Amino acid sequence: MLTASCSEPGTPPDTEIAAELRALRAVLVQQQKNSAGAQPTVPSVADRGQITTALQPLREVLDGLAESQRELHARQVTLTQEMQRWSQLLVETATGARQEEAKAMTQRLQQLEKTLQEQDKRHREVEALMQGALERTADRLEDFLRRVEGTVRREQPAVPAGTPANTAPIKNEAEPAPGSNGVPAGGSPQPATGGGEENESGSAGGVAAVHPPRQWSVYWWMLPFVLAASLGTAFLLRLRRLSNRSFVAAAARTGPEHVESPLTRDLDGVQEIWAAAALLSETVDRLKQTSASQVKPPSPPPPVAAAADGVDLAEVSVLGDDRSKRVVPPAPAAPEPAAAKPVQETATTKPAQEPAATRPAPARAGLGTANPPRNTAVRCRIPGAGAQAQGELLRLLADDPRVLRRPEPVMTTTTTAVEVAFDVLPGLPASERSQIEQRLRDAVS
Amino acid sequence: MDHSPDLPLIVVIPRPERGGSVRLQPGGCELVLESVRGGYALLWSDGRTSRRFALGLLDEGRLTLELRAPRLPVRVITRDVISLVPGGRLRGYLQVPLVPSLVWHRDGGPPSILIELPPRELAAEWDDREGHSFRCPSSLHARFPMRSNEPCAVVPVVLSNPSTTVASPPHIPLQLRDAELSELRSTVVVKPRRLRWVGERFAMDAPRDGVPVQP
Repeated sequence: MLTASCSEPGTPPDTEIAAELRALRAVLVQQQKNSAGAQPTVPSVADRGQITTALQPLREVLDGLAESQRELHARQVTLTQEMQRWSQLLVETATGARQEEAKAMTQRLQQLEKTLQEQDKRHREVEALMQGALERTADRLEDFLRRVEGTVRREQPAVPAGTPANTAPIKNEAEPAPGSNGVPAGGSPQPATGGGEENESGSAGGVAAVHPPRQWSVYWWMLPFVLAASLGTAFLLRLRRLSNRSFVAAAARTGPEHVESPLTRDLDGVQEIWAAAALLSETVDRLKQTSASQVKPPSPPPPVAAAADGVDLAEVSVLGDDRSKRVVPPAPAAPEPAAAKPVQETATTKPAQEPAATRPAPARAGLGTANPPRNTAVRCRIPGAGAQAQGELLRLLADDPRVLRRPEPVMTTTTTAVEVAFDVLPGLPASERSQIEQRLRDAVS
Repeated sequence: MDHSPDLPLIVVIPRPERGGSVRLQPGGCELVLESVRGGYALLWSDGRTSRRFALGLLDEGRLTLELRAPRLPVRVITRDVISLVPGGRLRGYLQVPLVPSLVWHRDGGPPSILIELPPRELAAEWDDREGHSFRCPSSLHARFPMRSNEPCAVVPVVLSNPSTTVASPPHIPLQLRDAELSELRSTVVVKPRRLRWVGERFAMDAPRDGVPVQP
């Protein structure tokens, strides 16, 4: 207004008002003609500019948030890499013998965990800030829409003239957010008509008197349109956040190369930090378990294998002891199958020269078949024999030439006695068998 | 008390008088027959273990201590590793322990084995394929006779390898009979054995009649 008044000091005010009224009439006539043909479905250039101007604070807030998120992402990536290196070092150290370094790294891990917690708090604060900014932006949009409604009603005659007179009310009424730029004061052109808010009280009455009330009803669609636009913008922002979260989840599964938006990358960095924190906690648990296992005595072996085999545990242990204590005669150097054939050959060469009692037994089946009962087998139960007596019993049986070395004597220990099974020479009298058994009993008692 | 240091095949054990004893030393063992009230007592010891037997004998008949051949086939494990090239031959002597047995000879009746005292060197085994057998170690001697305090039989063996592969037998199978045991130069010998390597085992030819083969 001042600039306009200064640029044209010699223009009389009556002339200006008359010219403005003429221009407004011309515009109204033109709009009536246009509205008589068809209703416009898209907003005019001035409306777009107003919407853009209205969304400008939100855009700037979002840009600021994106920038801060980029910085946070860079810091998080660096922190994540450091934590991964520490985790690897801890895992390697946990398996080694460097306990002191492990303790130092454990302390460092605790510090990193604290840092992570602080970082998490900051992230929550940022999210709260974003929520607040969005809410404030929505409020401003509503205010803007209200003002636009009122401004259009008042400034509608000046819009078709091609002058940017519609920006002046926004400048004067819209309160820019602290830190936001708002509408630039110097860059906005001054309305040529001089019809601003400062002259609202003076010129509005004249305009209202000129325009009939029914002409404002032409712009009734502006209100639902702007409301729909604001709601759509808010919905799009909400959708963007949700899609970013989904992208983060997808990136956690497929890798970070599929993430596109900066906000998605930021959230992905957050996820990486949380994953690294989980890895760190797991490593710390391992370290704790390792230290605890070094202090704890060795746990007894689980009895699952013995139970799975269906064998009594006592028998298994006794058999194991028997194997360790069993006195094995010196093994001959001859393999058994090769050694058996010449004897058979010898026997077949002169079958009539040997008595039937000394003939070798018929060939048996191979492995996996039960041996047929031999009449030379002796089984005796020796009560009161303990584990120490088994060695003595085995020694007696090994020293007795009447007892076969193969198959070896077998001892089975029960809770009350030891059962001994062995073989003796064929044709051994029963008295000698009993004498062998008695020797075993005497050795125990 | 009678003392018999030699190792004859058959030793007649005289009946000791009541309260008396007869002592025999077949090889490294010691055998004492005592006449006690109600019967006879036989005490046997090999230096490590001792066994006591109670015998009820008749006045008619005689009691002998005989060295008998093992009743089961014997697998002789040589202390020397034997290798025969294709077409090669090897001669030597093996020693197989004999089993001192107390035999009762009844007038006009077959002998009866009362007690067998198998030596420790004879380890009895039972195999799934071949049944019962003895296993004993021995060196492959090159000279005859060889001195031994144990009751054993000397078995001349001739090993040949007619196959096209090198023979390295794990053992030498033998089967002795009581009838072929004979005394020669203060030892007990048997007829020589000729064994042919037929691939993974030895096959025995018919023994030659007469004295042992001089290597």
